Amino acid sequence: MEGMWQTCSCLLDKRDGLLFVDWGVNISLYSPCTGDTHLFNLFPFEIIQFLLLKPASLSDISEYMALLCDEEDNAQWNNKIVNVLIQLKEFELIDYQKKTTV
Amino acid sequence: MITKKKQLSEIPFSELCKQARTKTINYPIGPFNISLQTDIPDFLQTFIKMYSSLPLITEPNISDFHIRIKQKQGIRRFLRPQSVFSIDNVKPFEPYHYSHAYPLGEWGLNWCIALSAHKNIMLHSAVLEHKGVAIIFPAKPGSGKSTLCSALMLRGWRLLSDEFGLVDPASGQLIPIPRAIPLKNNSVSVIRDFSDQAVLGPLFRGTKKGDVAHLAPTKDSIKYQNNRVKPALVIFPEYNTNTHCNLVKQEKSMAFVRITDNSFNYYLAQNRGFKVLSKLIQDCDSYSLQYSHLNDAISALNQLVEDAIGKLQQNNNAAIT
Repeated sequence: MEGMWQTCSCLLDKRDGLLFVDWGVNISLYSPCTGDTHLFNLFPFEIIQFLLLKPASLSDISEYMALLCDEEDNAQWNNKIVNVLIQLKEFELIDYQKKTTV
Repeated sequence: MITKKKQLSEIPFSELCKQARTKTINYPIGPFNISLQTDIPDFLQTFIKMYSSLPLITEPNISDFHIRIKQKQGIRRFLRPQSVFSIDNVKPFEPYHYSHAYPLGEWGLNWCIALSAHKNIMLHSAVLEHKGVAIIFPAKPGSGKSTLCSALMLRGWRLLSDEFGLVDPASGQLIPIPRAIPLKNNSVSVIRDFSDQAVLGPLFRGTKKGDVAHLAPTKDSIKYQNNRVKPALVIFPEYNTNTHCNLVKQEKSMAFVRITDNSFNYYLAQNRGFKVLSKLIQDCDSYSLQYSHLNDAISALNQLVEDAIGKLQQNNNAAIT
């Protein structure tokens, strides 16, 4: 996976920005794109917040999350991140842009 | 000069029948003005029993719903008489048996409200208030919500609604719509045995929802139908046979999932729905309530109300000092 991950363009509400509520352990996040409300733990939510800053590659995300969670950034960790990214993509919260070569 | 509005029960039945047949009966239910026309005396009789203290609107007004409940015309009416519900001359339902005109009218009004109250967030819930503490009871059908709601009302709680918890998005307040409570099947005898104060309408056998009888809202519920109130608690009730009464604090994120699940128009309201309901859950304590005996549930809820009042007083004292 050499492409870039990014949040869906409509994730930010025009007036209110990212619509979410932090309940302590869990986060409820509203998606203006689909109208769905998602209940997450902090892990996927941190990925979304990271991607809101700028699009990032898998290795960038993996490295950032490993640092945040005090984990080793290895293949197993990478797989965990990929699984979460795929789920977030299924929810239409993030998108994946393949790297194009000329 | 302030003139007292005439109540439904103060008008002679024959006069009401004539007015309902030839003109309209206009009355307010919470935020809605209803204009009713009917040529079915049995309907009117039950209607008066249910809403005897309802003030009538006599001055010109704009009605939210123009409802007609009439006997179906044609030769068929001699063989198998039917009642027809219409709103603004549109008939959204198949005719019911003539004798089921009253439940048809109540369900028809539910349908009207569900389709048109979208400026508010609509919850499938009962809402009651006691000593200034308002409680929302969101629940799926069959959870015993109406039975518990009836019992609380008959113990002096104010009924805001049995079916629709209407939340005003601007203020976060609950809007009362005190209507007759439709009790189904076993609940009818449970409530009849529970209190001799229960004003019950006739039993309608074999309706689309089983055997149904309506319980009239108390006079205070009607009297204070314009008094909006902020919710203090959210309780998810569930009736289970042979269960000890169990009141368990609900984690807020789960309470939020459950309340959105019980909203009629959460998806339609989009980000407004998210903001209103997440704020509501943030501001209220939530509990799940399992019970098998009404009196146990009422004791637990009364205690919860006292605790909420105590907490409020503590907060007020802290704010003063």
